Amino acid sequence: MMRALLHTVKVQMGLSIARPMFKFIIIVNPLFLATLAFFIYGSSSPERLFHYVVLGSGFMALWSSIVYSSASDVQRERFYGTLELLFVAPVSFAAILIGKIIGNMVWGLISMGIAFLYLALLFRIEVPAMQPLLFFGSLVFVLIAISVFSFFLSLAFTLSRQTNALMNFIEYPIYLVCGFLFPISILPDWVKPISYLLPPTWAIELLRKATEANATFSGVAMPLTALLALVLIYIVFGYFCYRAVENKARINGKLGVY
Amino acid sequence: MSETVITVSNVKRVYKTEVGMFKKTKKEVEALKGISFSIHKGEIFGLLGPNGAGKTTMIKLLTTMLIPDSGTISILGMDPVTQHMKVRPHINFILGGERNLYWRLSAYDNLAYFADLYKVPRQEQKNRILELLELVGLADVAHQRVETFSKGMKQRLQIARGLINRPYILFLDEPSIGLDPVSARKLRDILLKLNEQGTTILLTTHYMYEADELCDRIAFIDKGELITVDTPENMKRQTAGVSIIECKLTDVSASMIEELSRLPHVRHVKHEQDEIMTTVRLQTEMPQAVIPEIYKLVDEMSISDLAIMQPTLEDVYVQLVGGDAQ
Repeated sequence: MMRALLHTVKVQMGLSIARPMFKFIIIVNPLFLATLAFFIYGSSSPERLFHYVVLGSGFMALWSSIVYSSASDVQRERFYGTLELLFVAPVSFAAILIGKIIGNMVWGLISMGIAFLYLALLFRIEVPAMQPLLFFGSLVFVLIAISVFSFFLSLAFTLSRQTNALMNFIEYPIYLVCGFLFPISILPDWVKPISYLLPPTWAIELLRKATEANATFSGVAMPLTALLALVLIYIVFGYFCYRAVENKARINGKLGVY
Repeated sequence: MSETVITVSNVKRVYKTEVGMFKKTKKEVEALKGISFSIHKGEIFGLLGPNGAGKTTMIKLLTTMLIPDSGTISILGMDPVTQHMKVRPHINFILGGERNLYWRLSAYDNLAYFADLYKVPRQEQKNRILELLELVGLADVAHQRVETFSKGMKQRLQIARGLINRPYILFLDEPSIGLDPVSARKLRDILLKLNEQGTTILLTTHYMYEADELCDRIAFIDKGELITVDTPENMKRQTAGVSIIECKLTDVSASMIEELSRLPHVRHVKHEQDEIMTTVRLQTEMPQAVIPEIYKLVDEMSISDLAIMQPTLEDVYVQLVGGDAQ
């Protein structure tokens, strides 16, 4: 199973980057997002610049990679006629979906890195003093949380034949609702509960807290606990949704229809 | 009697669809209406029928892609509905057409990926992939991207992919669709070779000569119902005493075909048209009586060839299922 998962990561990364549109999303798009974020926050403090420009645009790049690739790849597999082959392979379909998500995540991280380098070199944005263990520990946890959330999305993309519409529909709202560029405190009250139910909200909050001056474990406890709780809930729901999707795909028999 | 590896008992399957945006109307299509048959170990079993007969649905049920509404299926003694994860390592399937491969990967990389998905041990993978590429005649283009392949090469790569786990049972859904005669010939040779090695094969096809050449037994299905199951030889015996008059006509109208079908002693008429002429096949027990009638109906100058032949499997199909077979 692990071999199949790792091979899926490799195939996914290779197939994705072979597409010119994906290259644009990974390499060029983060530059636009970073520039946009810098123009919004250009005169802010170094810490605020890092939290909303570096992390904000990095998260947008990560999210674009995940949402574009996870959605369009399921649709592409459907179009190639390989979705049915993957579905009936002896390896769990969940392992294949997770492999795809990890592949997209790696590209997303590279995209984040490009955005960061661009901001550091061109706009001279400084990296605040941080505790590496706290930051990288939080980053790993954040990536796990985003993977679990992506797994949910890929289940929806597997069953739906409208993946492109779904993909375009959720890309920008997540930027705003999860507070990538702005604190969610400025959102209308009725939107906030939605924000709190989405793991990316807590993920970026966790990284912001972890990179604050004199960040401590107790300082990140709140977003960490919220994210942990959400991840556990999403894992449990994800398991049942996966079973339901697997069953529904075998009842509907429309996996290969595009 | 040889061991039974697939048993299908009274299997029914209905597709439900909804039409309309606001006022949705539900539509049900009965794809299979209670089909039963069994397949023995080492057999090549053909599933034949017109478009929409239920062949692909049957393949999807047998390959664990679909769940039947009622009835039971047993594959190698396992239930593909509840034990699908146990069934999958022992079977594989190949769909016709150019899809079902990663075009941006090489032939070798496609097979390597599916080898991992089918849990083939790493130490066996390399040799097995090279053997399969050799078998399907793609060893020299192993590291070329699939997008550069012809349709026939892609079909053959699909065969290699379908054999990556050395399946006990191989399912093929219209594997030769769209292939040129040479590629189709190669494909049939590969299937016969596999069968000699002990692989049980179930294939669906529209091509009667292919089924006649390959299959030990054939099932005709039409509109979700099983019409008959037998060996090609026994099926052809059903038309004992029947002859086929095949005429090639350069100028023929639809009304003339209609008139030919109404001639006395003619049981069935089938016609195929190409760019130059129309081939009309008339089933009859009295060819000598029918031929003069043809000459009365059709202008002698437009008959470029006329011959009396023995019925083929295609004629049995036309007799049992009706309509035009390819």
